[in-house]
Amino acid sequence: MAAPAVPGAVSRTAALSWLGSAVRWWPLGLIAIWLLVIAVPGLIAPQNPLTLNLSNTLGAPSAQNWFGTDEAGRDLWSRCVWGVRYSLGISIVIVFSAAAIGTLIGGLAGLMRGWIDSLLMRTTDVFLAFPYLILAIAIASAVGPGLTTVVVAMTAVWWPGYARMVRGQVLALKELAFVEGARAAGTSTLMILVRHLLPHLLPQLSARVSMDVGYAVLALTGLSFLGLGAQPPTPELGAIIADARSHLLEAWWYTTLPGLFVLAAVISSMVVSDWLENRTKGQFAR
Amino acid sequence: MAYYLLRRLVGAVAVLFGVVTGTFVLSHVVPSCPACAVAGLRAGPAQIAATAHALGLDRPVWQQYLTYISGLVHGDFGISYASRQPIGPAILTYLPATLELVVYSFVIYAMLGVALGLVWAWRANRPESWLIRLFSMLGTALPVFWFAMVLQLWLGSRLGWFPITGRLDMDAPPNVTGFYTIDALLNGNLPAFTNAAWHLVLPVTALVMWLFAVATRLTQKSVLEEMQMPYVRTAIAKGAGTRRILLRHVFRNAINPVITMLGLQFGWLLGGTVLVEVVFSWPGIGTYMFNALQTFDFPAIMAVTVIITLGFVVVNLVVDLIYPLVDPRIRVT
Repeated sequence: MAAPAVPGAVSRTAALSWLGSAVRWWPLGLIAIWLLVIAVPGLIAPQNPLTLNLSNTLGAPSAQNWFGTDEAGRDLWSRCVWGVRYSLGISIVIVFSAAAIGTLIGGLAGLMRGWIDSLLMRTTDVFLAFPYLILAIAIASAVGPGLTTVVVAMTAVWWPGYARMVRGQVLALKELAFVEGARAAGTSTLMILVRHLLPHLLPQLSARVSMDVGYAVLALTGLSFLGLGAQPPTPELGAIIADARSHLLEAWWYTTLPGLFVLAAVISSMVVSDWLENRTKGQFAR
Repeated sequence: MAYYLLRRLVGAVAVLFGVVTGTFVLSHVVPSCPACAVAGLRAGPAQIAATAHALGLDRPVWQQYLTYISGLVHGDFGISYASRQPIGPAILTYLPATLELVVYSFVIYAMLGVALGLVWAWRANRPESWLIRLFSMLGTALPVFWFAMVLQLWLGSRLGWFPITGRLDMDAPPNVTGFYTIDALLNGNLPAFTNAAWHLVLPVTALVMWLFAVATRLTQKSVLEEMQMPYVRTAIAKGAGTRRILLRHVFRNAINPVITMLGLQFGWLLGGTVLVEVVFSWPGIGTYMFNALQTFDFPAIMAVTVIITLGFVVVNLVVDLIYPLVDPRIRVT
C-alpha cells in the first residue's frame, strides 16, 4: 500500500532510504577497510615491524605494545598489521590470477568443445581430484621456498575450480540468441567470451572469488607455517605463528593474538561472499 | 552398473597416473640440481657428478621416469636424500600414527556433522541451530594450525587437562594394528589405552573443528531440499510425526550427497593432518613430510604426496562402490 504523499515527508523517506542502502552496502565498507590496511599499514601500526628491541623481548601486551613483542622485541601488533598486507594481499593476487586463468580456459573450452574441451576438462579432473594443500606443498618444495613460489603453486592448484565452473555456465549461455547473433556478426570466440559472456559470469564469479580469498588466506598462512612461504624477517601471519611455536609456553600472546587477524580476514571474506550471493540472487530472480 | 564401475576405475587410474607423472616432474626435472642437494654444500664437481651417477640422475629423463614408475609399482619409493635409507619402510613406520588420528577424526566428524546438520534443519531459527551455525562459521574460518596451537596452549599447557605433544607417555603396546588405542585394548592394558586416547583428544578436536562446517551445512541443505518433495507432504498428510518423517523418509534420500562429500573430505583430512601433526609433534607421515621439507628431501616429499593421493583416490573409489548399496536407484542406471 502506497503511503499518502505528505509534504515534508519526502526528505525523511529519502534520508531513511539512504540510510537503508548504506546499511545494505556495508560489506563494501568492510572491503575498503581491509584494502586500506593493505595499502597503508603504517596508518594503524606506527611502529616498524622489523625494528629489533632486545631490551624488551617476549614482552607481554602493554599500552606501548598492544599485542606484546616477539623474541626479538619486535612489536607484534605492527607485525600482524603488516602481515595482513602479505597474507591477505597476496591471497587476493592469487585468487584473481586463478580466476582469470580459469575463466579464460573454462570459457574457451565451453565455447569450442571438441578435443580441446575434453583435454582441458580431464586436466582439471586430475587437479581437482587430490588434496590441494599437498599438491601446493609438493610444487613449493620443488621450486624452492618463498612468496613467489607460493603464488605460483597456489595459482596452479586453484584455477581448475574456476575453469570447471565457468565452462558449465558458458555451456548454458552459449545457446542463447545473443551469442548466436554475435557469432553471425563475425565476432571472434575470444571476443564473445570477453565482451558478451563475461558480464553474465561476473555475479557468480565475484561471490566465488571473495569466498576463495578467505580459503586462500588459510592455505597461504598454512604453507608459510610449514616454512614454504614468507621467509624471515617478512611479517607474514603464518610465518609469525610458526615463530611463536618455539615460545608457546612462555608467551601466550605470541601464539594467540596473530591468529585473530587471520580469523577476522577469513570471516570478512565469508560475509562479503554471502552478501554478493544474496544480492545477485535478487537481481536474477524471475 | 558395470559401465559405472568401469568409468570410476579408469578415472582413479588416470588421477594416479597424473600424480605420479607430476611428482616425477617436480622431483627430477624442476629442481635445478638435485645431486647438489644430496652431495651437500661442500661437495666439489667430481663428487656431485658421482652422486648424480649413483642416483641415476645422469641418465636420459625418460629412463629415469620408467625407473621411477616401475619402482613405485613395486612399492619402492626411492632413497631418502637426508637419511640415505629407503623411503618405503620409513613411511610404513609413520603411517599407523596418521591413520589412527585420521580415522578417529573422520568417524567423529562424520557422525557429529550429520547429526548436527539434521538438528540444524529440524530446529531452524531456534537457539541450538544458531549455535551450530556459529560453530560451523568459526570452524571454516579458523586456521587449523593456529587453532591446534591455541588448544595446546590453553587446554594443554595452562589448564593441564591434556598432554601437549606425542602419542603416548609410556612404552607402546605390542604392535598388532599400529593403532595404540586398539593395541592397548587387545593387550588388556587399560592405562595405556586411556593414555593414548587422552593424547588423541586435542589433535582430533582440531581436525574435527576444521571440517565440521562442511558436513553440517551440506546435511542441512540436503534435508531442507528433500523436505520440499511431494512424498514428504504425503507422509505429513498421512499423519506421520516430524521425527519419523525426518529419520525414516527424508534422511535416506538426503544422505547421498553427504556420503560423496565425506569421501572427498577424507582426502582433505589427509592433507590437513600435516599441519596438525606438526603442531602436536605427532609421529605420523605429516611430521615425516615436514622434516623432509626442512632438508629438501624431494624423494621423501614426493613419496608422501603419492601416498596421500593414493589414499584419497582409494577412499573415493570405495565411496563410489558403496554408493549403489546405499541408493538402489543407482543400481538401475
